Amino acid sequence: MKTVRFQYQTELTFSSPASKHRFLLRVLPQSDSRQQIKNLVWHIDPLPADTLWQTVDGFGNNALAGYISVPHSHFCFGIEGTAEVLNEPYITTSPPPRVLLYPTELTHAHSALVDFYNEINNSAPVKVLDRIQYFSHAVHARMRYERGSTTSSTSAAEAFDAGMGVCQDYAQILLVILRLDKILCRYVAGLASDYGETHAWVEAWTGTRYCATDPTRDKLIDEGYIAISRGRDFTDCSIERGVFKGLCRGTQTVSLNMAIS
Amino acid sequence: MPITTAYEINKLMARYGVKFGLYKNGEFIEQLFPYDAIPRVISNSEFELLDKGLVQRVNALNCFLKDIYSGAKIVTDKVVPEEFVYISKGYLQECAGIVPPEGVYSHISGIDLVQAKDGKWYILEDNLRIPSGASYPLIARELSRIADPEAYSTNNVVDNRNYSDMLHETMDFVNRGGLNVILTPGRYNAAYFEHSYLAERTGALLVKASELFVDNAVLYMKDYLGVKARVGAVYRRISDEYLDPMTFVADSLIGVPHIMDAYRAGNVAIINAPGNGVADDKGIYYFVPKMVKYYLGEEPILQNAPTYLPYYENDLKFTLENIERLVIKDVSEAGGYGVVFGSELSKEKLDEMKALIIKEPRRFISQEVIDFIDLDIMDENGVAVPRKADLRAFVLTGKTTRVWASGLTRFSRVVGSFIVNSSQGGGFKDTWVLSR
Repeated sequence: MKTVRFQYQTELTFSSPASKHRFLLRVLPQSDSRQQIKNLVWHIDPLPADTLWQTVDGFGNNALAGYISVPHSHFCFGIEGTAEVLNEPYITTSPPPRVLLYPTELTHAHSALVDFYNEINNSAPVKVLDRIQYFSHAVHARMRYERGSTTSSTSAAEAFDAGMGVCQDYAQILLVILRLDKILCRYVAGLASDYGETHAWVEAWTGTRYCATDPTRDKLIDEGYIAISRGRDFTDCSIERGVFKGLCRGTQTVSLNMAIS
Repeated sequence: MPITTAYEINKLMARYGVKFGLYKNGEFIEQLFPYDAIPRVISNSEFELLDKGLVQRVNALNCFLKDIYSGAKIVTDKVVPEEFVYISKGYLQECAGIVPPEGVYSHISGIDLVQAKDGKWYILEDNLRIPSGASYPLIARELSRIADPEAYSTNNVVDNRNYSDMLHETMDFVNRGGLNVILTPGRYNAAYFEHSYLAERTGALLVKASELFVDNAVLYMKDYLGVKARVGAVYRRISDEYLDPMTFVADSLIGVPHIMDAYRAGNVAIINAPGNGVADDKGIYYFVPKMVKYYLGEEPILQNAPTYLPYYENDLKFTLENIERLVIKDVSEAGGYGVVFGSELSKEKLDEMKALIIKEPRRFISQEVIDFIDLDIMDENGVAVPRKADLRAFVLTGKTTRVWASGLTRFSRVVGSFIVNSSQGGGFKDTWVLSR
């Protein structure tokens, strides 16, 4: 077991002030069989004057919900804390909901993905744990990492056709492949050391527990990973959601520090 | 001015704004919902049967929804295949584990029936999301009553003015403390007349999303003076996907941010419950008689139109072999869209359809065409002519489940056509249930 200190922050800057801003921030990691979260603190700036509450979303993720009425040109939120993390990729939970076997809008299997699955399935190993790693590796080998080549609404099929993407795309393509293989699996958004921004990977059900694999980095996760939220795809796990009034464009700056000892 | 003719009633309804909005090529067109003054008459004994059958069906559907969102035992027991549940667009994982106030999911159910020529009634469709249409027979009756009060006192017609009381009682029953409101997307919605009419009749406040907000998982209404008041029940007339931009479609401007949070916390009732679409999916329809047996241990009183699921191999074979006489429905479409009669297709189109069904069997159901009855309507020259007509019955669930003794009879204005949907140009009639 390792102790991981983490510090994460996102800052949004608006080109002109936004107001009547309602938001949902899925930034609160929870303890599970692999990670014990300690001393978690969060910050939001500007701090909502009157409306802020902690909630749980439909997937069991903790979130902060709030409202900032006054005009503001920047919106910043973040967390810091420590976690005791096991150096293993397994998470023990109750059996997952069956819905995790079915496609979503972002993880829809089009014919090229089905062909890809059939192609790699020919030489896939038999044991489920081996299959998970094998498919994760196959996705990694097929895709090229290209920052900025996709957006948050790019589907697995679109990224696959382009042959490139970022962690979100790698994870969603792997979800498609695993679901075609009838393996229950979910998307994970979280923090990973040396990644510089929020990361995404996949937890796949082995029959008794989840095994977490990172197709972007082509490995099973280790103590350098802290899971924040889980769902069927990116949409369920998006760190920040918001609506506000204002004619403005936004830019985003993310900072992440993780120290493992 | 005394109202004496159907023409005048139609003219008055136009003045009251009894309209139906349509989007054609991206443009909003409001058109009148043509009213025909010859009522459909349902005898007392016939209504008794419908009443029992509809209550039974809606109770089973409510049990199904409760089950699906809290463990899905009916799936584990293999009565309904799981893919029919989880691939359904109407299934919302975001609702898993939420038990709505008083355990009611479908508060207002619009069940579409047709009567075959042998007199037997068949269920064609369940509408458990936002079934619209009750206001049309209500206002038509109101105006006709002024035109000819005697028709109602001498013909033993059950008074249907209690719909708003029934709706009010349903709202009050599930209300979590606070106001009853009707949430409308606004005047460009197809059924805006209905929203305003029902608000007026039930005493609920007609609001738009901009008048509602959530604080600490409690829903409030803010009026134009800035006074805030807690809301206990929302009869929302916007669909699930636009209900809450924090949970569903992120750029919805007609939804209320965080309303799902208030709902999940049990602080507000949403009428009907989000996620109901899983139970009125055309694919799930096939299983409703099985639900009646499964949850209630009873034989279904009302039957479905004979339906085949190409998902099952035998049904696929049957569908392909008999496609010329079947009606094929795309399960993901509504409002009369995606309905194809095999008899109307060319050989080429039939082959295309067959290939599509083989490719995506889960996407279609096939049904025997029920040759349902024609009812007389009055044409432009005042001559009675027969047209196909169906019936949307309204079933309200609060403390108990009750069928409104009236309904929306829709008819096709095209000779021989089975498509009666208002969005496809159909008209409507009042529905008289006789008291003896």
